[in-house]
Amino acid sequence: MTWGPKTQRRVTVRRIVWFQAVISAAFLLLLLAFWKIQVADNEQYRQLAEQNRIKALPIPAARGNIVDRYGRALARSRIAMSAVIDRESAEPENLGRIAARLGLDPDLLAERLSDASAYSKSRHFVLKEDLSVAEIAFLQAHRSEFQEIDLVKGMSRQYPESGVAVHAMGYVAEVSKSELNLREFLLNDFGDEIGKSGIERQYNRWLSGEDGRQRFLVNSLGRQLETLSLVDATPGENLRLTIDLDLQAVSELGLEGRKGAVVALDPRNGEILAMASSPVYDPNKFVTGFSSSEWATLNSDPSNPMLNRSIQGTWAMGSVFKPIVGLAGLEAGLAGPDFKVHCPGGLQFGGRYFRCHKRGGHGTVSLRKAIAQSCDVYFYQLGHKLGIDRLAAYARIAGLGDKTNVDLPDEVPGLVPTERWKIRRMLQPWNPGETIIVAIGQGAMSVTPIQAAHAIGGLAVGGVWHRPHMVSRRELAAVAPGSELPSPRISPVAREHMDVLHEAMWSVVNGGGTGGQARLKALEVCGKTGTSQRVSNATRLKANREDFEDDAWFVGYAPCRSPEVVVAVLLENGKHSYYAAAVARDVIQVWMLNRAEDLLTDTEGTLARSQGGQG
Amino acid sequence: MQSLITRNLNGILLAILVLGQIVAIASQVRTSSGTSRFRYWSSTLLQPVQAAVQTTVRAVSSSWSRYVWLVDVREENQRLDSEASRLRIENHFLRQKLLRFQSRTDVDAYSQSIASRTLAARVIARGPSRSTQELVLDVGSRDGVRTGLAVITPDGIVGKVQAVHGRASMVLLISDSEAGVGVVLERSGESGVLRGTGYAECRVDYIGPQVSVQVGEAVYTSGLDGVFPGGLPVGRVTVVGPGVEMQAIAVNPFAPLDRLQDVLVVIEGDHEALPEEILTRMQSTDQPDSGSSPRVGRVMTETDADRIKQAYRRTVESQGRSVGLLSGTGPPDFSDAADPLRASRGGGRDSP
Repeated sequence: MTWGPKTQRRVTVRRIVWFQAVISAAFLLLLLAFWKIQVADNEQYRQLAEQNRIKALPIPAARGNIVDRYGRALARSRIAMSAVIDRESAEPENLGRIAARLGLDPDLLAERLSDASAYSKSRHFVLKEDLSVAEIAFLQAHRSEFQEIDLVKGMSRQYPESGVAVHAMGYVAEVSKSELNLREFLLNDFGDEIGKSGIERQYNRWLSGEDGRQRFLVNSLGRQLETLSLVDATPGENLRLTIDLDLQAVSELGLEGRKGAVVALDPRNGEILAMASSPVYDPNKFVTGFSSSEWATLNSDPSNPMLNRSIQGTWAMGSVFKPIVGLAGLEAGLAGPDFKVHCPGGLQFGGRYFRCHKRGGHGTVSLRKAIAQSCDVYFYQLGHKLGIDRLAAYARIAGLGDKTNVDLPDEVPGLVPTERWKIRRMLQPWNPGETIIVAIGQGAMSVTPIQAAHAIGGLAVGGVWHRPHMVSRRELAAVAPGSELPSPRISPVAREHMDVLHEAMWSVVNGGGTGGQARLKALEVCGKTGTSQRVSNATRLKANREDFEDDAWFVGYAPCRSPEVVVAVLLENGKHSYYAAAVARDVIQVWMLNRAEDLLTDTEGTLARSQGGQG
Repeated sequence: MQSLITRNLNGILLAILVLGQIVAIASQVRTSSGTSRFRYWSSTLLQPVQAAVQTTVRAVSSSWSRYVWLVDVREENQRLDSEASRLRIENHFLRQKLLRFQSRTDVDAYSQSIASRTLAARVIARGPSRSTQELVLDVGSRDGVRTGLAVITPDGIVGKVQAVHGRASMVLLISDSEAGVGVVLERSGESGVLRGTGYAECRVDYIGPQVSVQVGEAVYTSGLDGVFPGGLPVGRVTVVGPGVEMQAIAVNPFAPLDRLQDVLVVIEGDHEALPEEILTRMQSTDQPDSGSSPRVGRVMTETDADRIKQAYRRTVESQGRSVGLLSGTGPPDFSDAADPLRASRGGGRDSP
């Protein structure tokens, strides 16, 4: 085929036009692509590039220490290493190895990762806190394989190993998904550690600091090149409690091997000096993590070690309620010196025979003797005269049937029954026989140990009930500005009535009463014992079961005339109240020794100051 | 034909360039093992050249020495040298065996898992940059080398295989700032983590201030890192400085990391393959009183609260009594306990 020159030129021209068109189109396409990358999607690409080049790691903040009233540590933070994971670059095939080596449940880890991408605001979250040297060695040796893992220096919580004050103190652990929705934890992010119970939760905001952040340049292999910015972590504030570790320690030793609770208060201001509950658990486990079997054991333990018996467990108050019934009787003018009851060992009432705890009877008793000897028949009679609603009214004045509003989460209110309550709850009218049962602290009425200490303590100082608290008024002003302790509930008790009750409760301990075990040589202790039935006596004797045994109470205060400390002891299935009285005695003994020492140092201080002033 | 090529020379050139570009880009795509194909191919291509150069250099120098020195003696010497190296390692493992494992079954498990399978390798190049401490060995995936294997010498440990090619592999030295090795101190048996610094000396982290460390004591691998088998020599402590949370300890590696020639790759000895009971045994030998590895920073095990409770417990027990004991025998007397505890209360009383 041959073309003439003309044809050839035409073909060339056509070709050139085509070529130009193609080139133009190509350039237009390129331009469009450049425009898209550089202008339209600029921000997205810039961020992607930055993320690859800049790494930001959290610097965990130290939680504030918790100390007792003298500054001695109950919970503190210590340096620990944490492994943080970058959820965006996490490699599924690495996770299995990492989980196995760090002792994490791989399924749980996968779940946390997916939760993190749904809930977390930052790329990193703490995979495991408080690493052992072996775990650090493993992660450090595999840095090049596990690019998603970084080791950061963090702070970890350390609680007393012997379980001192674990229930009051609470513990910290990772915030749960449901907690993230609470207003309380609005400022928290996924993976944060928060106070889960006790003081740790109540004062979480004060105790927790603010995490810092470190940003640095990395190369394509993840190697750190230079630090770009560093915002140091702000540590949390220390918190001083009103707890006295001496009293706390002795309270716990007294509960060892038993189930029960001890609460010691200063009735003059409501400061809690000791709050113990037994059995205990190890709060450190919440920091380092439970194995699934440990967790199952703890949760299924029938003795319920997680329960803070001081504020979350309720028991029949037993005879400890009698001074309050006595007060009601005195104030109503029914239990005067001329009101005497003959106790033959029981009382026939409404077709039933109600026994006194003393089979042979107490003979003729007045209020004083009735409290000292804990005569049931006297209180059956007095209770009947008062009626349930008047009894309930005085119980409420003493703070029973309502939360004490102590500064701890999850307190329970207990119960003070009334006619109205029974009709509403059970659609049944009140039976007068129930009144006389309530008058000896049995029946539907139930209280927590802190309520018992609060009620008797407030009564002992003449009818002034201060709200119990773990953080002193002065400390609270700094911790939570604006929130103040409320004024005490005051219902003054007439002087002569007070005298009768003091004298009666003095006799309980010192006058051959039921609380002789609480007696101390150097200090006069007053108080009231209580033994409350869980089941009827007949059932208890027949079943011979440990958990059917009676609960033992003692609430004591000292010094008798001007009380400065009140101690409530509850021993679950403790059988006899004298065991409880003996525990209270030892707690009060330690309180006494400390007080003497404080007076001594105060005097020395004053002396030194006055001598310094003279010299 | 000739004219066709001449006429379209530009086009062909362009096509070749574009094709080359595409190939180059495609080769940057990472393979499943994490190394780029390009790197893999080029190293596979270049490895024979590098090896040949090394061999030639060695051959020339050795033939020269053969010529100068007695031929047989030289050869014998070399053989004995490598024999000695092998025996030194073997001797070390045997010693470790005797020290750590008494029972027969343990010895079997240990020898099966570590002592036998090592692979001799030659160093053929060093890493490109000064800041990264790397070596290139003449063995690769075709010889059974995998990433994560330990590289050792009779003197001490060297590093960890970081990337593997067909006939070569890259080793990250223990002196690299990204490297980490689980180690134990010779005298105290305390566990720490060896970290590279980018220089000849390394440091040991996480040794608390209460541990006594002496300059000159040896450091061994702890076997806790899942890379190095336990009990291998690492280096010697050269500097010990005080610290609040942990001591500052510098260690000079035993292995001459800057002039290595022959090394061993531990093909079998990855601790993850070891039976669990050996691991726990090693951990418990390190910490006789606790089964688990210690936590970092747990300097004092007690808080004030523990101390106070223990003091009261001791007082009560010394009196043969207990708190809450019925007072038939008299209540416990805390006045003795109280005195030493007074000091802990100090000042700062927060009285109402």
